[in-house]
Amino acid sequence: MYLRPAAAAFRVHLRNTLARPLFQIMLFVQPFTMVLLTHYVYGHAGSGASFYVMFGSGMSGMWVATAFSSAGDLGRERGYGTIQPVLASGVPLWVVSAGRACGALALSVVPVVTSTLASVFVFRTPVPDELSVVGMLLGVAAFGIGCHSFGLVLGHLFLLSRRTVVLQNFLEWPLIIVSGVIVPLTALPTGVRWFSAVLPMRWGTEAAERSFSEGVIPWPLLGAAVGIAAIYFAAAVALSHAIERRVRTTAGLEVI
Amino acid sequence: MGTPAIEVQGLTREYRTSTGLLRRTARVIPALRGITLTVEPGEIFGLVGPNGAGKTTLIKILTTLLLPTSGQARVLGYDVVSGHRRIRRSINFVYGGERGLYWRLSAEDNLRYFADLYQVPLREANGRVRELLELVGLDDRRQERVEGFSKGMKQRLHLAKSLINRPRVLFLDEPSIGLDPVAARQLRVLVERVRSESGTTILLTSHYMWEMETLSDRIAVLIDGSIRHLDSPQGLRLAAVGSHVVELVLGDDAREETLRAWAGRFGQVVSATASGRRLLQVHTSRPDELNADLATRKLSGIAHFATRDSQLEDAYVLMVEGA
Repeated sequence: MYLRPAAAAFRVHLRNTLARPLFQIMLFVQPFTMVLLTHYVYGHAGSGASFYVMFGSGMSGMWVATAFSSAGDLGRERGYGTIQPVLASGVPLWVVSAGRACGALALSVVPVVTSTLASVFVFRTPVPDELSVVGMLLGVAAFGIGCHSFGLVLGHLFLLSRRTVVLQNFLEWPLIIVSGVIVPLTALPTGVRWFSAVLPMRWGTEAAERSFSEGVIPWPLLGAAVGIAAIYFAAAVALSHAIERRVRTTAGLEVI
Repeated sequence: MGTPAIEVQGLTREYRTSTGLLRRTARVIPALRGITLTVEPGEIFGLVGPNGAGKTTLIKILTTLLLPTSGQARVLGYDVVSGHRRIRRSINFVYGGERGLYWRLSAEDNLRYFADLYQVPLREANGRVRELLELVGLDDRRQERVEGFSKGMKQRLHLAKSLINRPRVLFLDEPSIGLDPVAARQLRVLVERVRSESGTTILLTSHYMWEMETLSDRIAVLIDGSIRHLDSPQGLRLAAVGSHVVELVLGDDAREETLRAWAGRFGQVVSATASGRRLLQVHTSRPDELNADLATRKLSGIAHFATRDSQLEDAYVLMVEGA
């Protein structure tokens, strides 16, 4: 029933985003910078740290492109004055935001691919022999699904109040670190590991990392990532209904 | 008699705001204070009033983007609080200004997106987009990005977007704001065409009184959240001003009080200035008597005078200033 509006939101997100010079840099240039940085940080740590060079950069790019781009996108829609006509069309807000987040997810494959290619062909990052490509792909996909659902929750929360938007930049890097994409999960302080456990991205990262270093397909980790993502998605849907009612009460969708 | 297009009873809306950084003080600002009105199907209903009178708040409630604080509002028979999903399918709106479009997309892509959101049947959607772009005169610019459009073009695209779902009720909130006279006229022609061709009910707001007078079947004057006057444009004009306005331009030697006393016999007299000269405006429905009397008397101090039909703007200024 809502497939068509969601697909339309997907297309609009692709077109709108690709037209933004800032996003073009984020998609096509930033991954190289990140690979360069991680290469110098982990370059001498041997193949045990190769995952963070090859995929950490791309997956952090995926996180920024999906979770933060789609969350910020809802705020931008408010700024453009388009969120009111979208809401007034009768399509539930979560359908449109989920469609847009899928668009962001599709685009976020670009930094993963470019940073992986850069690390393999430019920086000659060592790859373990026992690597499971299928497990890796599934892990990255689970990570992406986690970004999508988590980004939906964030995006809807950002709509609640203009003040919450300031959290957007504040949260970006701490969440990347807590997801274990750039820094190994084992290096995180024990106190924050419990927090990372409730993030679907963390389980996707761990699944990808295990497939990379041990050559296995860690189904329980993949299941945890997708299961937690599903909970976030359900929360985003419930939140969107509550938010819709709240913004109708508080006039919170006015153009800023 | 059928279901009214819009039915509002005792509608109120308050905004809560707070001031202060450390010690926040909450304030309640009443925007609507017990609005009651009915708009019949196919009617063009005008809503005028000064800035902050509550026009946009009323439209946002009727378009289901805001909830009322109390009272009832129904659009096409559905309650705006509980039946908002049903209402949304059958209405659309234009809010004045350039926002509300995707500037990085083309005109065609903007319309196609909203056709998808409103789930216009697929076999109709492309034709509908083309037809609307033609209607608003943008068919030759359909593939250009909106960011390159003039204000008038954006406003016409807004109107096209608002017609994508063939709405039964259309809300136009200051659709001609900022438009040049030619673009504003084109927009008025379009609005008239929409009503005559599809019988769409239109609720319109504008600060341009001649526009409201030309388009509206009835007009409500909203002041400080309440409807103070509600009638046809002509009814409002006649009740507040009379049929004519006689403007007496006063010379330097004019004794204003004497002239006011004389003119007051024919209607209400208002002092004004125009191009640095003092002016008395006589609102009257007996301009012939006034002119005849003026011809027979030797009244000094009148440099020249002119008689014209009264306009809605004359009535509006009186209503707002007298409120």
